[in-house]
Amino acid sequence: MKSLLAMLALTTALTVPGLATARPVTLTTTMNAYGGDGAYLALYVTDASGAYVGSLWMAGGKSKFYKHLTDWYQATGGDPAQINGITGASVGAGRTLEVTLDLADALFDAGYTLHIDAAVEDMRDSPNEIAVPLTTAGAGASVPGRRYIANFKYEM
Amino acid sequence: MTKTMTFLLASTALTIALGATAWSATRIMDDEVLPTAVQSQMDSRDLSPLIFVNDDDDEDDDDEGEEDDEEDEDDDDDRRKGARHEDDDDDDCDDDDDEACAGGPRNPAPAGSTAPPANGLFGNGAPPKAVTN
Repeated sequence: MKSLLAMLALTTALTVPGLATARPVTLTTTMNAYGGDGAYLALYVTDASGAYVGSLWMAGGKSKFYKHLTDWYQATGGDPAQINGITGASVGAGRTLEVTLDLADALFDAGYTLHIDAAVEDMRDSPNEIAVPLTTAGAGASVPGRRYIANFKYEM
Repeated sequence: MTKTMTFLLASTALTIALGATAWSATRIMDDEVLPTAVQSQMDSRDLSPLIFVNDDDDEDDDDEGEEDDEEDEDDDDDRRKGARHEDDDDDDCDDDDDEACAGGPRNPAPAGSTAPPANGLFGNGAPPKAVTN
């Protein structure tokens, strides 16, 4: 009986941290009415030193346009492996993109920053249009963009 | 006898007429001497100006900024001169081509078709979902 309880306690102890290490996070990006084609957006994360950690989402499926997402392209070389399974359609002017991801808890309150590069065909590139620290306190707060993005927020 | 002479003269005259026509046609082919109307048409084929009925360059060059405006003016000048307009797009690929450029990276796998990359940012829960309103 004791061995059974010990085993149950051990499995519970191993399972609970696994359940608690990730949570669904919704990233909401609202575009301005900039009067152009659909915008390509690269959402990615850097660590406290500014080094690229990984990508969270890519809006826009044609790799030949990724070079216009300047900072993201410089960090990744446009490697499609960075965004396999997290790529969707480009976002039109005035539209709102809501992406729900299962993100690791370790991302928050640990010095990580979420960046968004934006680009529109025949218009100026807009690298690092959004740069917002990932903190639990900052969840739900709207951050204004500079050119194509009206505002951005993340909720969990 | 008179009838015979008349017949011979008529046949000779007819032969000369046909022969002269055939001979003159042969001379035109050899010397490339064309009748005036044909000659003027042939001579004008190298002198006629090129007229672009349709410009298939659909690129909209109305970018922001003064530099782009200057480029637009240059483009207009090129069109007025009848010169072939160069593609201003620095992208060598056709915009209508859904495939990646030859030799370039492939397009990424869309969401839902494969798992997100193992970059340490994602948990093992629900797959990514995107909605555009």
